[in-house]
Amino acid sequence: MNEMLSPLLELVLAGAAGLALGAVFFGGLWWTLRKSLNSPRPALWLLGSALARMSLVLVGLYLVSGGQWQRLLAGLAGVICARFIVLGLTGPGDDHQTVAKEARNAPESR
Amino acid sequence: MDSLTLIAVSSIVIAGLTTGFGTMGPALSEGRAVATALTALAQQPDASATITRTLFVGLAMIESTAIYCFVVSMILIFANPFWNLAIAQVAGK
Repeated sequence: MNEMLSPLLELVLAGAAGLALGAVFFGGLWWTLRKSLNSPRPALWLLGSALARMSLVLVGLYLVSGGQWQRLLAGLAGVICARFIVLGLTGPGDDHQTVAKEARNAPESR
Repeated sequence: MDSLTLIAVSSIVIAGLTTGFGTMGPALSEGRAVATALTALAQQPDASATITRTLFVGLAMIESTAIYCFVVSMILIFANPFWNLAIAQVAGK
């Protein structure tokens, strides 16, 4: 970031970067879980994924911070927001709602 | 020991302790969570969607805790506000 930005804009940009990092982190966790639990070697998947995701997020936050703790905290806030967004996107685990939705549809006459 | 050295030493030590304790807890709990989930999957393969989803919610919470501790350590090492303040005071003298 060579151009002069207002402090508020810097914080917003840091938060957005944190959002992206968090999306990769928790999206990767979701992908890893679905892949690993059916694989013969879940430990390898989970450990490798955890190391890769954690290093990515930490290096990303370090680059985002630029030596300022305010930007680091803004990035962390972005990561936390991304967690709730990803949790919402992966949908509720119970199948009652989908069943209820499908029950309201007209039955297909085959 | 002057104040700058004291701030540096305490920051580094606390950052190490934060990372240590902040990864210990999540590591233990993540291991327990995954082990329990695998046991449940082995017993009830039909409920795999629900189990995976619940495990994901739990692991997301657990790994967030580790990230919080990492961020605190990074603040202490790379962007320590007290260190910057002390440096500014020394430069002002």
